[in-house]
Amino acid sequence: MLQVRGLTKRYGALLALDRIDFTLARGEVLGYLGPNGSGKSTTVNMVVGLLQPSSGTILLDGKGQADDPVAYKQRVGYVPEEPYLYTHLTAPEYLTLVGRLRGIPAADLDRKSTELLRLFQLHDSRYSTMAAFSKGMRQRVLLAAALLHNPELLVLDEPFSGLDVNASLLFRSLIAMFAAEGRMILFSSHRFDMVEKICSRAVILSKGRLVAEHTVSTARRGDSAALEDLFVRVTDQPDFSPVARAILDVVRA
Amino acid sequence: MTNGWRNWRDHPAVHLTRHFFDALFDLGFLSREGADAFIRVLLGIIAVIFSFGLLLTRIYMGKYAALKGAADPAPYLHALAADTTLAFGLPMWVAAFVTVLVSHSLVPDETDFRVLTPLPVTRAFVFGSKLMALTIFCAIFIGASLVAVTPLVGMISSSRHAPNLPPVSLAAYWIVGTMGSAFSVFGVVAVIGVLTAVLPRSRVHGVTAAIRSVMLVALMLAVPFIFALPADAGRLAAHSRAMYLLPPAWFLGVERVVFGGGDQYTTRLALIGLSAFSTVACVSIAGYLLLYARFDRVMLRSMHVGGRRAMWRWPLGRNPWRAAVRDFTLATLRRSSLHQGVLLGVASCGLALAINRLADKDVIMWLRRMDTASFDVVIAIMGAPWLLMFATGLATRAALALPIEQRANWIFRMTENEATRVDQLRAVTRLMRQTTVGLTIALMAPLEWALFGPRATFALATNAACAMLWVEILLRGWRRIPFTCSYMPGKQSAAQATVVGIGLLVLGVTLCGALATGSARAPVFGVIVVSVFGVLTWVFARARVALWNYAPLEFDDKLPSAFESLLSIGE
Repeated sequence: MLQVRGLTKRYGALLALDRIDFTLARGEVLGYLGPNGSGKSTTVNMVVGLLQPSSGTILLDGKGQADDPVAYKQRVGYVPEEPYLYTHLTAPEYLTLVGRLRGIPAADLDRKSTELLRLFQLHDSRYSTMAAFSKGMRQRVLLAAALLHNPELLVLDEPFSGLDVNASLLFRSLIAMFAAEGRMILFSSHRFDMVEKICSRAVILSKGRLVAEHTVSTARRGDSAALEDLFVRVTDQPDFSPVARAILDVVRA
Repeated sequence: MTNGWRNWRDHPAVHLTRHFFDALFDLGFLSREGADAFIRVLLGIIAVIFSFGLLLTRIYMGKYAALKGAADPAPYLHALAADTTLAFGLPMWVAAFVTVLVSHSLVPDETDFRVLTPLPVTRAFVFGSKLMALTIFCAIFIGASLVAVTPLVGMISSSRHAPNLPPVSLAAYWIVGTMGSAFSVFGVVAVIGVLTAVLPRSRVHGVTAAIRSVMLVALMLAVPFIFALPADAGRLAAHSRAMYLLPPAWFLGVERVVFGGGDQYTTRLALIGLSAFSTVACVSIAGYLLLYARFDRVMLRSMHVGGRRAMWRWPLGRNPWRAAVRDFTLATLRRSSLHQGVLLGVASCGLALAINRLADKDVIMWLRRMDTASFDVVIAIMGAPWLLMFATGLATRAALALPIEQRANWIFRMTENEATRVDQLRAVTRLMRQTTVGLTIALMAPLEWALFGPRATFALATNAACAMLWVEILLRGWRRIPFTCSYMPGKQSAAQATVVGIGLLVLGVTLCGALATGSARAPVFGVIVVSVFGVLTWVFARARVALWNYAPLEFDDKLPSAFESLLSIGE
């Protein structure tokens, strides 16, 4: 189980994240929602160990992230929001780099990376550097790299951005099966429909604070209206109609 | 502000040209602070160019004091011709160098294509603005180099023996010098343009990047020959055909034919120059027009890759963490034109300086005869290893320090592990040793063997010991995975770096050369030297590994304090 307790991040005077608490049980997919600037990426960066919290703790199966960060990170897979990867490498080279950095034995690494590339439909492009890849292809490489070491916690930051329909369906099935094996998935997204379809529970963040928690009912899967209504209510979203009207006025003038 | 000025300033073509011009200073891998520092470095370089021009003028004052006063005009006229060739050669070199540096940006890129194509502007408008930005960029550097050399031209051409009055000589220099610089620009554009137009689309980016590196190396290797141009006074006087191969001499011919003082020989030089100029101008314009017509070839990267890209694997590597960093480093050096350019460009400076020493008349004579070498020959040869190791060490360090896709470094941050950090960083030490020690020894071994016979082993061991120590000095404080840390240029001022660099070069050539020569002549001395250097290297290496054991990897560069900048080397 992932337990986040009192997670706080300050950048000087700016309070980016204020005493966030949530838990993620084994076999669960937790949606992490919030408007831009609400602190989603800050939380994700702290959960994967890229950023140090100002205060608070992150526990994975009761063991603190700060106690043994290396052991913690060995159990975490991460797909960043933007496909930040070394585009001058080919996909197999990138997977080899990541696998070696994670200490995967050479024979296992070769086998796994070849198979993953085949299953993610990247095998035909294996000799091409990723500079020529579309965003969706890069996203698939990142997911393959995140799964390479068989993580227990998978942190996905907008993983569906740039994916085509087939790849999106594959990702959804994969996430569901991954969770069914008793692993944990933290799914940060802007898309209510995806969160409704994939997650069993969602938490909503606004201005650095956790403002709501929403359990997705199995019967209502695919209907994102309830979650969207809740999101608009708890994050103080204004009525956008006047803004839209003003934009049109400016354009017409 | 007048309406005319405002209208001109707000014209879309001016906006787009300014955008393209600013983009030429944006190296892409620098942060905002890094970009500011880069502008300071550029200003520093221009200041160094001006200072160099003044220094050159001062040096030549002594030479011309006697020549101008002599009754016989012949020595003066011969020297004037040769030195004017140098005055043309310097801006031509600067123009070629600058054009090679920005040659990746000759036509609008993919971002320009995606942003500008949907806008209601024509392709001609976009290309025209790009061309104008490039012209202004190159003109700034050409102008700066012409201005820097103008005092020298003014000084050498102010004589009663000169073929023209000084104002005419200066005007001739500016007009023909600009033409010579334009020749360099056209030459580079022609090569890149033709290659881009004729190569298969899948190969365009790779081959043009390799050609840029080759041109950069060729330019660096040309530096000693440019500074040797004044020594060609005799050849010019003797109407040597060898001068037909030297582009600066062609433009001397043009100057003489157009502004007076020409003869049959300079007319021939001028004809070659004009033919070469018109040829490269036509080819570069044709190449550019071809790119204009088929601009998708260079703007969009091809998905298709011609053949298998073998993963670079070192058969003996068993440590996965070291292997990960080593393979990443080698793949980046093979594929990134920026990193390859820095590595080869800086390393070839050392090679050029070494060749300059070895191209000495006495060394060439000795190589032909292979008899007992004179003291001058020994000095010339034994000074070369330091030049090689100094430049290759700096080049490797500089190339490894420049970032690539910095936002992708999260994978290294996320997998950082105290237990494997030293293994990862050892890949850097190995590469530095392979380039700095291995390359120097491989290049110098045949010459030193020819010089000392079997005793060359002691000289080479001393060279290797010096190179190992130099690597340790360069790696002082280093705790970066190559290409993953942000970069702040200008940790030292350009002037300070120049002074420190020249000081180290002179000191190293003298010291390293003397120690290696002494080692070959007295093996016991060699053993002592290698032992002392070995101990020093071991001490430095121990400190380095101790640092790596406790200090985390560095991902964010920072400008040093004033005191640190005084101590920094190779930044």
